[in-house]
Amino acid sequence: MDWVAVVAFVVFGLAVGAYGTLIGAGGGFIVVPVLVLGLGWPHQQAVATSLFVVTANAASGSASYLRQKRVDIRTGLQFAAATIPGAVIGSYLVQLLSGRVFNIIFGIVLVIVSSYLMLRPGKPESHNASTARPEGLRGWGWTVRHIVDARGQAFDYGFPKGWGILLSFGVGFMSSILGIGGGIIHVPALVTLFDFPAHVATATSHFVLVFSTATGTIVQLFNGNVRLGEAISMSVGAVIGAQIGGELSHRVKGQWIVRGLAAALTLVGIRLIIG
Amino acid sequence: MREIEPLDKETYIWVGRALRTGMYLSFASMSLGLLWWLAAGMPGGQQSVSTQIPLQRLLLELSAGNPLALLNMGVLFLLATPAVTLLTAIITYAAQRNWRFVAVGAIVAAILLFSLALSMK
Repeated sequence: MDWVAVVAFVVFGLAVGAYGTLIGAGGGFIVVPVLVLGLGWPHQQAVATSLFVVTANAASGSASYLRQKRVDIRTGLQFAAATIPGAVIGSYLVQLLSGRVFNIIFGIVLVIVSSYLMLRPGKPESHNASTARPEGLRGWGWTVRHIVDARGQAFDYGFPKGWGILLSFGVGFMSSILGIGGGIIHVPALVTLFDFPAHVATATSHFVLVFSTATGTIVQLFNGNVRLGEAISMSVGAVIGAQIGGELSHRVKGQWIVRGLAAALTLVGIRLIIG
Repeated sequence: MREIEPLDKETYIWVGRALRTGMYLSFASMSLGLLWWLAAGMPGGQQSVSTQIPLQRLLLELSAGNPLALLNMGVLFLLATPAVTLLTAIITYAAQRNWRFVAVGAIVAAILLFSLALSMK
């Protein structure tokens, strides 16, 4: 790795960090395809190195979102408790599945989800979604939150925490299979299924990523799969990029965050389908 | 149940500080280590940048002027940051006598440790 490669990886990390933070994802969905398809890295090294970068990006982005007071810390901790074991179980079960078949199925699912997010009727971002508890199982673990961010914007929303925790378990499971942080699944699910305000969903998902991806990275470091030089170079860029992304999120409407995410989902889906 | 903002103000401040401190330390160590390694003419060859130095030798190597030790410290700071952040959240909730979230934080910590121990077997 010479200095030209170091600079190239820093710049790439910066772009990944800025965009990933803006849409509430760690950026793994960009890093993995570039390393595997662009640079011809073995899949295991790409996934492990990507997880390292996602951890740096998530830590930096979360610091920015905490400053903005948009992280639902209480919910984030509860979701993290479900995401971590989901990731560990996923990493064991993925060995029993045919990777190619799973990738094609999951790629198709991602493209369908992203098409839905792109084409659904524009719904203005709600800062005060309904906080009334739905009847029956739909209201399982119903929790109401009131968050006032650093700019004085209030977010009132309610969500079924029981389903949220189950969802987080699934996100951890999927993320360990795909080698991505999981934000690209978590954010749209929180926004569309639970009516989370997009900005709070983005910030909280990023906070959850810090814990789940760090666990994965430590395991991968012990397995010797992380290419440390490239990972550090990309992380240095990602830390700066995440700060830029966090600041840009103020100026981008929630609807555009979801659309950006949908575009990203399409990219991942196509990548998985074509292998 | 409505959870009013002032309850979490202290948590925001301290959790944010913990995360920022870890991130700054990690970023500074990794970026300075990288620059130092490049400026020193990439000692050990171009692939040496991926060398993992054992924890017990880290300070010794750093005092001996090995830029790779600074890079490794950056990695250590980065991976320790979530644990320190979690510990900070638990302490702030304990200071607020919010035992429910002390328990939630402790469960996350236990799951994290258990998952790591299980994965490294």
